Amino acid sequence: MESKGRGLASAISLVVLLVAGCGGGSDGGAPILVSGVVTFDFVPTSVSSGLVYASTSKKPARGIVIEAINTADLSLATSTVTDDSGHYVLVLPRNSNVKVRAKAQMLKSGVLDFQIVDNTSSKALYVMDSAGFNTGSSNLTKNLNAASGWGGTSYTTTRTAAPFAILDTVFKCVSKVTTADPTATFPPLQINWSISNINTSGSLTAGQIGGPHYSPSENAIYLLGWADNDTDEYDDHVIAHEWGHYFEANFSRSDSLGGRHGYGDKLDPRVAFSEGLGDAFSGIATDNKDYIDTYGIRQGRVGVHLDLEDGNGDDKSIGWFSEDSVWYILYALYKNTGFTPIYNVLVSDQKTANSFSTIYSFSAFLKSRYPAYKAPLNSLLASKNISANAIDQWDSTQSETNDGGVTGATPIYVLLTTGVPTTVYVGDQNGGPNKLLNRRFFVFTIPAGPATAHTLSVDRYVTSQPKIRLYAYGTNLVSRIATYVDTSSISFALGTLSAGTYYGEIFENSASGSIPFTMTLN
Amino acid sequence: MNSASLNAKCVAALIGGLIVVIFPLSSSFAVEETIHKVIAPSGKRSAPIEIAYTAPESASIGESVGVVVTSTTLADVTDLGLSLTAGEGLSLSTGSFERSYGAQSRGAAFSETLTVTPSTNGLLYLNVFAYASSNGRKLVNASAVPISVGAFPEKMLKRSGASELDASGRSIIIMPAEEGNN
Repeated sequence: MESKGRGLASAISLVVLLVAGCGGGSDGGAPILVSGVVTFDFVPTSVSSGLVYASTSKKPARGIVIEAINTADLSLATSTVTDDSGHYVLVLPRNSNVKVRAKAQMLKSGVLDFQIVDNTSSKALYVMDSAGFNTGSSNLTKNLNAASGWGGTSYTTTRTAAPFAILDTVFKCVSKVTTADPTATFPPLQINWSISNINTSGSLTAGQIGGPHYSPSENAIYLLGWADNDTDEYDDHVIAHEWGHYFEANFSRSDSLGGRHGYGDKLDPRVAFSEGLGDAFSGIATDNKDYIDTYGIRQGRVGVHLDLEDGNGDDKSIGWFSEDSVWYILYALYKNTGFTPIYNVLVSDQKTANSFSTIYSFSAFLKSRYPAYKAPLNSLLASKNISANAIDQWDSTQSETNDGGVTGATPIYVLLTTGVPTTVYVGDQNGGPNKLLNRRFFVFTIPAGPATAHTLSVDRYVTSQPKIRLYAYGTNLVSRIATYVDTSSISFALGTLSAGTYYGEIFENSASGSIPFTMTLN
Repeated sequence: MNSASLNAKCVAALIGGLIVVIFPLSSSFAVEETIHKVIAPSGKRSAPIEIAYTAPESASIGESVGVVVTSTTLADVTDLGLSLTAGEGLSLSTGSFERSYGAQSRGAAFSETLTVTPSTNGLLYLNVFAYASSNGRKLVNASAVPISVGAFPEKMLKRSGASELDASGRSIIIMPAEEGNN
């Protein structure tokens, strides 16, 4: 739970740069204090009616950068950061002409730098300026509010509040992380938002972002803003879900393939875990179990509503391949244990795991690190038809029996033994390319001794084109693809391997139906 | 006003070692370039419906153009439906569009052809809301078909303000504040 009183913004030390020396204003007198509260229009969501503009309220803009700008030459006079109440204080010379600027930026040198930028305007940073004024000879109060721009039936003025509403959700996410680790440092993050951002394929600079998403290649987030279609700025769970992906990528490790994920999907377990973690984190960060995604004319409809405490989620997909099963387990665990155990497992064990990031790896590490939580976690796993008897991150004893109704989906990892042929099936029975059975996992151990060269031979139909990837501790060691040759057996070189455990995947990009691959480790 | 685009079709044929270029007798007909795209999956939770469209590469003010929107189910669903509305600067010949397809198995596809007419230059959109129910829950995909109108539609993008440089050289967009003093 978010603590009252001094929180993150207080932990972000107020940076006050005194200009013109202490005790000296522009006319030699004592400096002036310009203070106030910065707020933004907050529009709540409703499960039944989307955004409820009639219930708009003002909320404090916490932890954002405030600057005083000299209006004569637009130079920076001084800067500070708002506290948990949105309050700021600037020390300025007497009788100086300035304006106050609130930046859609959370900044603490060496700790965090989060910015809301416009991807249709070369990543320009959103700011909100007061009118210019003279500081005079007495302390001044300047309260600034970022208006929603809503005119009753449509947006009629600048949607100034949107970037600050987004940043408020980010503040909650950061606050939750720092409750688990007060010394956490956050890689810089730009969150791209524009009133022209819309869910269609095309150019990012034209706002055609294809839906809200976290971009691993840019380490950035993109959010929607096109009114009367789909906007994200007030959908705090949508924002926190994407920030959860940023958190997973930068603090833990994501092995997700990405791609489409929805009700009924039986997913690749790495996708199920990553998306389920994002959903659960949205509730953890906001301490609100209701994930609501609004859309439509006047933003008055709800496209998706998840009750993160509802155990009766997706009835078509229950198990280790289910996003719903994962978020249910993680959120229920959070309600039981708080965020710290979950955080510690993600940033320590999961980050360096010698296996793919799945509910199996997470569960194995949590039970090992926190034996007291083994029983409640096992109960949650069992409630979602996931084996509670897996002894490790690979389920080496192959205890899992839930194959999602698709033959060949289990065991989670096939165990390869030198010289022993092992057959797996890949296929698109659940669709593709990020679904259950599109890729199959394998694991093997090289015994103690000098490093030696190894190969993996694959017997296959000559028309298929298997691909293999080999990993150790999250690092991709080998990536091979079969060429189209008229032989039924292909040998993939794995390189020289030292003693230890290795894991990997085999798949076929254009798998149709069920395709057998018989693998032999040599 | 419709704009007529003149294109000469040239057909080159190799006849007996000679290259013969054939021009049609009529040179005043329009060739409409169309694009076909599948809207990429959203990063957030969405209904199991894929939306694809065929639309003209560009259009002119007042020119009515055809758009085909195809919905394909990615899972078994109940209450599959499609709702289309014209965004700002665009009008639908039917005013609005709403169609229900009922319960459908995975892989079911439905195509709808509509006529839209732009009344302004810029990047305009046909709003596409595809919905389906699963386990008693209604899920919606909100997406859009772009209609590009005019010579430089991206220059007419809606923005929250003009960008300028601050004193440090950083590009910023200045938005107005509501002010109040105690």
